[in-house]
Amino acid sequence: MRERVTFFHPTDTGVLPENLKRDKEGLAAPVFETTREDRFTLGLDELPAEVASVLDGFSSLHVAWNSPVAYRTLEPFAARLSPGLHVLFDPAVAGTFDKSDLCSLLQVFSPRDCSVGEAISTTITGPEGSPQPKQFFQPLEELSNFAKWLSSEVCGAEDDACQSRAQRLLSAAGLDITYDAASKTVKVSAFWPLKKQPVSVPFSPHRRTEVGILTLGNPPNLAPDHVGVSGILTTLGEKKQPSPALFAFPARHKLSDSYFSTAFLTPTGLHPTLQLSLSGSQPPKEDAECKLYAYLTLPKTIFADRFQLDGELFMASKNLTALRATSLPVDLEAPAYTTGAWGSSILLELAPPTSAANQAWTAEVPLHLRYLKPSETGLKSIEIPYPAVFWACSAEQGPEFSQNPFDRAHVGYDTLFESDTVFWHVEPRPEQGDRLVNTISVPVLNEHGSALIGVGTSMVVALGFGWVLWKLYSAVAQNGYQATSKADEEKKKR
Amino acid sequence: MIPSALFRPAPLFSIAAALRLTLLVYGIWQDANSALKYTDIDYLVFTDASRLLAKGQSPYDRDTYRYTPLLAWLLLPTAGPSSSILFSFGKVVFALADLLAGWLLLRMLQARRGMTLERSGAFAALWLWNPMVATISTRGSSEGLLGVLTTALLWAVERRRNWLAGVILGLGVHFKIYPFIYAPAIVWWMDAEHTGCVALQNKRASVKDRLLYFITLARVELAVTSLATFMLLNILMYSMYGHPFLLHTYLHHVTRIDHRHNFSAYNTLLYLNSAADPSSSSSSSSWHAESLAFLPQLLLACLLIPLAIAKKDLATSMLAQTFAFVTFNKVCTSQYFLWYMVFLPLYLPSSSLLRNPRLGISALLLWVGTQGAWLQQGYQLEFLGKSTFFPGLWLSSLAFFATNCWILGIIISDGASDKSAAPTQ
Repeated sequence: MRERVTFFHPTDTGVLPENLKRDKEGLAAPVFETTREDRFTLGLDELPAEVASVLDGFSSLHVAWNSPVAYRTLEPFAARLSPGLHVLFDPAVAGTFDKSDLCSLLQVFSPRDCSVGEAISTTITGPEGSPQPKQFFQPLEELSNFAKWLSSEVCGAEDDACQSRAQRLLSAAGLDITYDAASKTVKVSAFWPLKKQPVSVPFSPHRRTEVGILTLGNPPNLAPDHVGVSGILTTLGEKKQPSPALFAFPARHKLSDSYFSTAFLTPTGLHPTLQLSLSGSQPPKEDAECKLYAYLTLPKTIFADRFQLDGELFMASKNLTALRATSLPVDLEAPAYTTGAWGSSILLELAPPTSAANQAWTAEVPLHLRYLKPSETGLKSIEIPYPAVFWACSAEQGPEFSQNPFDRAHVGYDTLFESDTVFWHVEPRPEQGDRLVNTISVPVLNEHGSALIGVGTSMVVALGFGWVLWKLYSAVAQNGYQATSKADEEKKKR
Repeated sequence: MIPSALFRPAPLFSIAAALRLTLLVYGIWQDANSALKYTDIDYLVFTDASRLLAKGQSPYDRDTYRYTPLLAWLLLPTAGPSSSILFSFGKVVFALADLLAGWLLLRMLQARRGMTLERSGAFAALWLWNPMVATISTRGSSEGLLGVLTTALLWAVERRRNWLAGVILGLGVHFKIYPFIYAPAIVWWMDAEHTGCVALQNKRASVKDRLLYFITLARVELAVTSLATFMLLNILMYSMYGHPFLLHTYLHHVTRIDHRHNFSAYNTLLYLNSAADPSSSSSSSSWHAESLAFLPQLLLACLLIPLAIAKKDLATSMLAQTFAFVTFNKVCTSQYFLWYMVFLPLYLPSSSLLRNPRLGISALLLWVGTQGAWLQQGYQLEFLGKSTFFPGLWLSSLAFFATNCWILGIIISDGASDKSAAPTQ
């Protein structure tokens, strides 16, 4: 097992080398404003046996979680996802995937009943039709269940350091777990956002722990699409003093200087419109070809009709260019309670105003609610996570993003673009409060009517049927059923 | 009032055609200039399916295509780009189907005793000039095709063209299932008297003889041609498109749980029971009356109404059957109303709704009013997000149902009454 702890801080803060305390306990420094990423690299044999056996069912597996609580970040930790738990995977043997593997995996993050056999994944289809991993999503407020699982199944009961690190996950803003059958390793990264926090990295004799305290720098001859970094690197437990470092790497994810918020237009009705309000309309780079996208992750309670998101005039009227990708299957009619798939995701290209001046603007995404189960109040509140909004720009000369030690691939939308695309992320800001979710109150049937609806419908139908039967009976009794002429004859005979 | 000269065939059809042409051109203009489309969503489903066909794929590769492949075949000329003028080809076909249905109505009205050209034209105008009918077909909904199929069926039967009637019946059932309800009415109607054969005089004939006499040539012709048409079409389509054809054209309509709000009296109950937890079936809310819904519906539409009225007035019987079928159906949307509206011009001339204007106006007001109440509740739900499922939508759907039952009773009484509405020989 290897461990890497990286602090990235703004250029105007930092730690003076003399304040850095290194001893056999580990490394410590006073509180300062910084981001933090902890990354563990494990071999399959270092995992609990049941986890390793579940991983056997996958040829690749990527779990990514982002907190619904708004947070600030710095490059190179620029990538954004819709808040919640995203799972992307390829089964080890195509077509013979056991859903219970996915379900038992998800149990680590939140309790669920695997006997019901839900957790049905979807596949997004890109414009090129290139093979895409299967995807699954579920809203997840925090990592408490995962932390609990770590502390009881992974950490020993007496291992206080491990226990406290598991607890620290409760304040994390992001988590990435990636597994690749080819490399037989699992990488687990947790991310803490930009805020004042103490520097404290415990030393463990069981693993090598590298620590970096870094800030963005500008080394000479910085190549385009690269990020320059300077600071100090050290390895815990070694006698060597921290060494200064200055290096650069190509970055797939960058921060644009604009931000956005989303809200549903009122009244929402059964066909709510999600409005994206963006602070700027100008691409982050002038010399590259850039397009603006929104990647929506929609729980099964709400969906976009891919057939509706078509037609130049209609799309233009919403400040949209086109629907570029959509996950399948998406049932366009079924109620949420009979829908198997977890939900759906779509990639929309937005159409910012083309005027030269940078201006605030909005785009509207028409969506549709599914019917939900009846409730006590006749209303049910649902939460829809913020989308990821980013400019996708073509890079100048095919950069090798894998050289980036902080690269974050497999975020769901990256595989829908050329491999040399740079994503400039627009910062999500809550409309109000601090959560990156929109809430809709969905009208549903009021449970109080249940008994009356059953009896009442049956009675009215029976009465209506009875009335028609009576009219039929009296008509036949009066006039018979034969055609007129014949009926007349019969009357004469009598 | 409208001058009666307008009801002569030339102006009658010119106005009907001009109305549709205007709407068609207006629709093309609106589609090209407004984000709000005139064209019906269903039309995009049909034309997408036709485009898939043109590429050699199955029309069922298009989600929500739940029709016979014949429809996609028929619309093959629309397979080009949606900006092309040919894209409107299907709407033209549907509008022409409207006009053809109107022409058949006119012919059948004229065949009735004592009806002048102008008077029959005025009744045909109820269909031909009906803005709802013209709008539905020019927006690209295929219901107009059903209108022409059912009027042609009646026309062929009245003209004693049994083979043709059988082919149309088979085609109609293949197209939209529900026309099967007309089969018992036509069979019952095709007795010796109506088909011009020797009538069974002997009242004391044995059961066996009566059964044998029941099997007339006309009935056999109808049965053979309709079954053959229906089965041949199904075998052809099944051989070409396999299981998806069966699934989407037929099975879907049998197994669907249409929970989205619609005019049906059963709708709220269907929503309630579809959402019920299957593990707690003993709960108080499980009143599964809807699973028996087909009983009153089929009893009325396929058995009792034809038995009581078909021999006296086949057109009114078909109207009453369709009315009963739609009223007692588990799903009911406004396009279903077209299914029975096409028969109104044939029924109204001898109807007590016209003879007694107070009755007629009350029926119209109640039909429109209860529907309006439902629409108002539906608007509150759909667009304002108010939970009007209970009691608003539920009560208004029941009121609409009760109104329909009352009107159905009037139609049945009229159809069974001793007046001659049958066509002259």
